[in-house]
Amino acid sequence: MKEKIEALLVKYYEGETSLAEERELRKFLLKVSGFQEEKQFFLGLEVLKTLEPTEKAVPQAKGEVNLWLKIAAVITLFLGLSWLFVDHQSKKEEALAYAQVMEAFSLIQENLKKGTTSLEAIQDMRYLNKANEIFNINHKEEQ
Amino acid sequence: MKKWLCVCFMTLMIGSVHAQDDAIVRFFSKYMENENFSRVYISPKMMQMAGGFLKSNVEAGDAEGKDLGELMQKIRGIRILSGEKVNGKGLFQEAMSTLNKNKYEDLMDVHDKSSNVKFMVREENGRVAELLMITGSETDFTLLSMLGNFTYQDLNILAEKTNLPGMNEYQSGTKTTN
Amino acid sequence: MKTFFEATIWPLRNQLYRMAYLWIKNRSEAEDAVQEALEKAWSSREMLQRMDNPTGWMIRVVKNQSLQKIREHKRWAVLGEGEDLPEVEELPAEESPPPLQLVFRFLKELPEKQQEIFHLREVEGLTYEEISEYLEISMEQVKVNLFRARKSLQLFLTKHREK
Repeated sequence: MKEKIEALLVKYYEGETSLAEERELRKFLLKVSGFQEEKQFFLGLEVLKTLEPTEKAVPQAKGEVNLWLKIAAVITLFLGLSWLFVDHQSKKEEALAYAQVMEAFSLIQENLKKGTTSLEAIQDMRYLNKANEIFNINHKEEQ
Repeated sequence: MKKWLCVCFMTLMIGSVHAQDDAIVRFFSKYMENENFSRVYISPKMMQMAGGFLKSNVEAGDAEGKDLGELMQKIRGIRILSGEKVNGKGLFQEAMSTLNKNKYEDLMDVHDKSSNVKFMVREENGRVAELLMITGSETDFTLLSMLGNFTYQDLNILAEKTNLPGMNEYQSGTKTTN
Repeated sequence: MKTFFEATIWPLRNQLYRMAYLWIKNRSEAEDAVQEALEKAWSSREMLQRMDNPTGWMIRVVKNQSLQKIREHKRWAVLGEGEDLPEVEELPAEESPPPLQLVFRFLKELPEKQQEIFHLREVEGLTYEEISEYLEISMEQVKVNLFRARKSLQLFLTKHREK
């Protein structure tokens, strides 16, 4: 065992050992007596190996939004506002159109009221006329 | 703007499938540029928009609103030419003389010492294609032409029903008072 | 699905901590240094993803953060690449556990580059190839430096034995 260790150490100090051999060296050192300094040193390295920081969470892109999503959001917002604006505008236009139509209708109504006879009366008369016409025709045909 | 309106007006009049009476066109265009007159043109699109407004603002159950909506749908357009501080009576006569009497039938006639009011219709296929209103007093004159495809019953809505939404608000008080 | 950061950078944390500890020899300061380095990495993660050697970048940043911490505490001597390491002052913090004390006593004597390479080999167990990749130096350089470090170790342990 000791020879093995000696051999490995020589190789080690020459920088010729592989990782596997280095692992072996450390294992052997634990089994034998002697090699105190080497043992202590390599023990120190092993302790160093085990050091770890305290637990922490991986940063997540939680509050963050992909740039493209941001752009999409802005565009959507813009489109939404534009639509609202256009919709509002068209509603205004509709209201305006309605006002104008009602104004025209009022004008007609006012003047219609001036007539003493209602349109229905006139209509009745017109139907009367039509009836007369038909009657006349029939009458003619009958003849 | 005036020129543009003029062009539009003319184009639409000429482009009208149901060709309006040439006389009326002439009559309108004669006073187009005249500053004493104001002109109103309500296009088919505007009629549509008015209908839209009505729909979104009047309850579905409102019968009168429904009738009004139906009437609006049947109207293609409205043109109004009116003047204040004009020779109303003279213009009235002029309008009457330029009309092609064959196409228009009298609907209503009201004469009193201060003003004349005349309603006429032009029929097509048993329905009214145009309602014409001419009023003239000492100082005022109005010529209104309403194109569309409606019946006398439709016109009834205007004559008798006064509770129409917005009707009161839009009363034009100044024009036809004696 | 893991993000690039989660899959490639975050797992280096322990290793980076040990490297920071190598320089600073103080647990909380080392943790801070690593945290700062990781924050830098996080904000540059897009760039990092496109790099050839993000690990090497992390190691460098951690070293820089560590050295900065030392600077903040005491006077220091210039540490440049390839220069011999004079003194790296210890932070006035903790006593290292006894086994570590021996290691640090040894490492103190080495130039910075040798320290790094020795650490990566002996503590992290990396191959020459990996070390060369992370530190962006040639294999030859890795070999030479490790050889020198080990020779120093031999001398050091002999001296220690004779005490």
